Amino acid sequence: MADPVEKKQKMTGAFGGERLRIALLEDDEDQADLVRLWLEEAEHTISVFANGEDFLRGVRRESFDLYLLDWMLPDISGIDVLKKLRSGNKDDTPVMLATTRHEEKDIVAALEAGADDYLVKPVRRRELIARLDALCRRYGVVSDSEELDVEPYSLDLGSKTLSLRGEAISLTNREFELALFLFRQEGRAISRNHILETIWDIDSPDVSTRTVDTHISRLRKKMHVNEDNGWKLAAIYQHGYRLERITDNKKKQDQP
Amino acid sequence: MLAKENRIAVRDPFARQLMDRYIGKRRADISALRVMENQDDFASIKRKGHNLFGSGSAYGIDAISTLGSALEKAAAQKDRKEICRLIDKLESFITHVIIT
Repeated sequence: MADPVEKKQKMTGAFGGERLRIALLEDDEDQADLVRLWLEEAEHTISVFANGEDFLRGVRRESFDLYLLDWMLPDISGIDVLKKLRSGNKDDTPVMLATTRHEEKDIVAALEAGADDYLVKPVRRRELIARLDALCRRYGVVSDSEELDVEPYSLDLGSKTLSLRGEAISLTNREFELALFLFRQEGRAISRNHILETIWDIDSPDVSTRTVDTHISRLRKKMHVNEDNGWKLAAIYQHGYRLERITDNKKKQDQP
Repeated sequence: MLAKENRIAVRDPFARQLMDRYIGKRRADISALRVMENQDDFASIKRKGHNLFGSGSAYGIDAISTLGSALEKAAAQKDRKEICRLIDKLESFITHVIIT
């Protein structure tokens, strides 16, 4: 019989929604296994880290939609991990802190350190999924909106069309999904693997990170992503890409 | 608090595997906790209690969370008598668990 932890079983979750890429910091194997099961049932993908140092290394290498952190850990505490994320790396990925601590001062300390939500253990399945979904809606990781206006671009999610100053740009479905994903992650460094998991089937043996590069290059040309249109799609060495608005300050910085 | 027979129903086969493994590890906890108690390793008992509290109810077994919380407190107070009593209770509970 396959080891449940190793088994990558995908089941149809009761809660639906878009697939999120979640990094879990949890030292207790039993709790990590269970949360993994729940999140995979809800069609999310999850990477588990058993200690703070591994977690910090992991999130430097890869990008995620959301972090779920345990507070009490054997090496550095979840709060200290959170402080490192928010200060040194300036990582603004939504964070949910899970802990047995439930006093007001603890909750305040977590929120002041940069947590976006707080979950009191023992964790309950429906509450966890609902809170994750709400957190991602709140921070625009997922959206129910039918349109996305990112001047001078406009994306119609119903018809899957993208326009530049009202002029439709011909994109394949995949290119449209890629553009939408990048706009929703505006300003964030997104790893190639994150893009692959979200836009392509990660299990497909035919898809490599080079496919991402090819599509990004094509998309950049088709969409005319450039300074004149106020956007920049930057490649990040050995990591991935970042779509960002070019502000006046940024233009000055970029000038020699 | 603890019945003679503790029936836990798990329908999903994958969750059932997890539950079987969880209960198996709790059986192993009993002897590990007794060793910790013999060695006055209150820090490890406290940590074990803390993890049992966090995982028990999540797996649908409130009794394990209750015992875990009590174990964590007893370890913090270095109360050997209470620790031994709680380990016995945990053993009794785990011995009578039936997963259906």
